[in-house]
Amino acid sequence: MRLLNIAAILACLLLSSLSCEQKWVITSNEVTGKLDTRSFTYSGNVKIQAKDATITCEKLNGTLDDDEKIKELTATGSVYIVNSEGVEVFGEKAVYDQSAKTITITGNPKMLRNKNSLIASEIVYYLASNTFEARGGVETIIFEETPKR
Amino acid sequence: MLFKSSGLKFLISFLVVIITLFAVFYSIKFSKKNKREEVSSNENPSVVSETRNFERVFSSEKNVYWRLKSERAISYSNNVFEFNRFTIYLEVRNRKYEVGGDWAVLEIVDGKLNKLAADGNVSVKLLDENWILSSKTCLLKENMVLECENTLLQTRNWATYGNYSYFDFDRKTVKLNDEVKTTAFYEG
Repeated sequence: MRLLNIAAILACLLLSSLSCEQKWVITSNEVTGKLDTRSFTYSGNVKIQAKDATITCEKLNGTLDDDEKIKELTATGSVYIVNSEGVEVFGEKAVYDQSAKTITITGNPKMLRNKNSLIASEIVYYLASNTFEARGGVETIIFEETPKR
Repeated sequence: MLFKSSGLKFLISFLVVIITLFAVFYSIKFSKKNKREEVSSNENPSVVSETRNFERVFSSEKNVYWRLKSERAISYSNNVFEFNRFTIYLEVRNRKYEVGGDWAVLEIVDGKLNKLAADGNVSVKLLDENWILSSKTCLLKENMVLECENTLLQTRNWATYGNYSYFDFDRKTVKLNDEVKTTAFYEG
């Protein structure tokens, strides 16, 4: 166990020295990978720690391309996203688009920031700019602070 | 009185240390023995031969071809082989693997790899994929599923750890569970 940890740290250091930065960390109860289809499924308490956001869900399915980089990624079941500015998004499904670097949240998506909330048909999170866009049937509730006398 | 009391304390401490050392020694001895017993149900098998720099090619049903190299091999009377510093070159369903480790006990019947228990720096390399599964200890079950503890699965861009892993050679799947953690070394 200790040897494996040391090996992992050494691998990290080696990869860091080759300008490969550690970008994503995924934790879960279980992961299954299929060699033929280059697909994988994480299940149970799934948590994805990306650069500017943390995503939790019940299940995460994905496929890798020939370079072993993410091709498709779908999170399902009680999806929760919180970004570095404290914006929270809830939904039932989130799909990551690798080429556009976006995550589209569907299934009664809801966005919260402080006391303000927003619901829409889908909410798109742009990872590059760390911003959100709400699309279709948007309803917003904004709380105004009443000045104290 | 004080002298007697400290002498007694020393004697008790000395006995505790001796008992602890014996317990550690026997637990290590029994853990290896248990692994061997998991592979072989026949007790007290006799040694048939002992070979240095062992190398042999095997083939069996289900399109399984394999070659085994080892620095030291002991052959027992019950189809069980014990190997030190071993490498197995496996081909299962047109995929090539290299399984290696410090110590292994194998049951081989008619060229078929029935069971395998491996210990110490066990690794499974998927030669066509550049994937490496590293473990402390592994056990190959009859259904060609390699069960391992403390596994690190490394690919070109990813590293995944799990306390337990199950590598199915027939279905070409790998499952890791218990405290699973994946780290990606590139921008997603």
